[in-house]
Amino acid sequence: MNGALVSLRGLTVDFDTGRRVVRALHGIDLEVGRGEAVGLVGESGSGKSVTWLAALGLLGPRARVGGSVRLDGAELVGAPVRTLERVRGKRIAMIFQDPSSSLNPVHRIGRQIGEALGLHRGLTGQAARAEAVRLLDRVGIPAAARRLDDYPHQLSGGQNQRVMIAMALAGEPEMLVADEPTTALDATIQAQILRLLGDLRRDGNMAIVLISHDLGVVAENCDRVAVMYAGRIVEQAPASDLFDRPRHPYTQGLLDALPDLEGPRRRLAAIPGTVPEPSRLPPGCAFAPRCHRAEAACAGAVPALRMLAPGHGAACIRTEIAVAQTVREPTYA
Amino acid sequence: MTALLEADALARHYAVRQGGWLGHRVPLRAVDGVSFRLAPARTLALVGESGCGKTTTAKLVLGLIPPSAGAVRFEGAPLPKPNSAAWRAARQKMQMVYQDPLGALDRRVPVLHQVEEPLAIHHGRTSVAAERRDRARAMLEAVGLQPHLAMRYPHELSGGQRQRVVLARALILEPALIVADEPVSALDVSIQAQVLNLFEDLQARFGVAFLFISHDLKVVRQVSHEVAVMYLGRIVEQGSPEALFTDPAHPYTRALVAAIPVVRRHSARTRIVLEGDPPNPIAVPPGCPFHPRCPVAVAACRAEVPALKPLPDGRLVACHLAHGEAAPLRRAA
Repeated sequence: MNGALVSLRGLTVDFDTGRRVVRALHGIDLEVGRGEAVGLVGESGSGKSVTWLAALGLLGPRARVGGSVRLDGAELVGAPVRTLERVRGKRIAMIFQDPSSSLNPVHRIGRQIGEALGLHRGLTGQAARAEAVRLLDRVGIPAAARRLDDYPHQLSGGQNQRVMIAMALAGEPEMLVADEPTTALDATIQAQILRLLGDLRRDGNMAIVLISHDLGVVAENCDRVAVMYAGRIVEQAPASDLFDRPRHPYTQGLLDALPDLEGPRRRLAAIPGTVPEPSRLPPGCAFAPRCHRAEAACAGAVPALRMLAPGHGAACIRTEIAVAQTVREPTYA
Repeated sequence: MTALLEADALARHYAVRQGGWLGHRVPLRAVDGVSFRLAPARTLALVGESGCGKTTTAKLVLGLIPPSAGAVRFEGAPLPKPNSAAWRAARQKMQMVYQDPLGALDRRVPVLHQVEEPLAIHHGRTSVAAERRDRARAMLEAVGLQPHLAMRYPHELSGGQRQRVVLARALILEPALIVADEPVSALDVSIQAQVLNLFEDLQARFGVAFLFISHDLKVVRQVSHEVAVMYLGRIVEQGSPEALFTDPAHPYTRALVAAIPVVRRHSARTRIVLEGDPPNPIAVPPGCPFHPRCPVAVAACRAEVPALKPLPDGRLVACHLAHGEAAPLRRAA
């Protein structure tokens, strides 16, 4: 697709542990359109954060990144540092779970936002200060001008996350990768931050990639969702489709394991077992040992992501059979 | 029914210095008059955002910190003086489980020996080592840990398995009460469901009561018979999870419920996004502590602290408007 802002093709990551090389990401194909909100869900270790750290060249020398990451058609994998530096923070910004460890505790927040403005937009002095006030105001920090001289510890966790978002906006990015942006925040503050991210996306036509373990957060804030398991995307669909008609047994399992706030109280259907370590993946489908629908063939080969409905793909041979059967049914009737 | 655990107007105030270590001391009311009763083999959940006093309440209940005012009664008798012989005897029947099982376990001791240790401490003189080991093995099996994992060290187990070990160790002395502070918050969704089901099974099998502390309303609804919502050291609403979460009476509970992102919406809910930050327990506002963030607050809320009183349906609410003591300015949606 040419219309995509960012396009990942066969993205792989291998970590060199010194003794051996462990593959953490097994070929990710994902596209993000302009202004689109894409959710990435999965349990810890599924590779959701590594995907975007790899795409931006932030994994360090121990990681070998393969495949392709294109931003507006320009290749980022293997690109020189100077090219990456014009992308990171400028065209693609990233925010993380814990704002207080992302901010420098010994610098005033005005200076930290000013640094980003100088780097990406060449603003200094009064111009930078005025723009910093505007950004803080935009992310909903009251009395923004006075807050510029505060240190991060003088602000609450929610306000620090707003400061991080303001810094991310400093380069006027085309895409924001938000890695568990509200996980460390209280429920009422999480709601404020998610509303802010939604407003910013709509106002600036900025694409958002929302990485979260919380299915509810992703369901309510994304257009499209990719579910990851053991370094692969196992299902991808428009958000409403994915949560109404999950196709992959892992997605179905995650939804059944989630307690509900309304409706009748039921016993949770837990997924047995645990997520496999990247160095000890089972043969074939990595989810097969925990899957209640697994059969012998599942261990044979890694299932490819196949389209089952427009925009809805799942990587499961059992699902393909089930869909084929439901499609055939009407002819019998 | 006779109560297993009774908290009567519990309070815990700390003196903190404001403005550095030369600043004047001001009281921080972490817990400010909390009363509840917990019957045997039932689960009472304390929910609220960080700083609301739920963990302090748990510590007060176990006598880990002395109350500034109020009292705790366990099995009808006042809690003995902390660190006395009588207190240690009582503490056999009241155990605690924390959020991070790795921090709660000794990294250098196989998990079986850690489960066995409480028996050696409390019944060392009246039991035989082999018998204690058998009981520890049986308990690990009861919490669903496979026998071949018994001699593993904590770091060789997954998060869910570790939390099972912690539960086994808490249960080995056959306690009547387990205080569980965010016991599933660090676990992935699929594992969280396993542990939540285990809580249910253990209660049915051993007749243990849980004081379950969590910030996650969905988890709380899954496990509890009764829920108390805390705000700034006080209970603002208490009742059955069904009543509280489907028809919250306190504006804070309403906002908390509305802030939870959910995958499947059963009914159209209005999104209430509270303004402002979580409050500072040093500067508790006069009147109702929630009034500065309350979307429906009226003049009376700023002047008078609302009492926690029953509504006609039996639940307890501390809100002038819910009790009709003050007329709302306009109909709240």
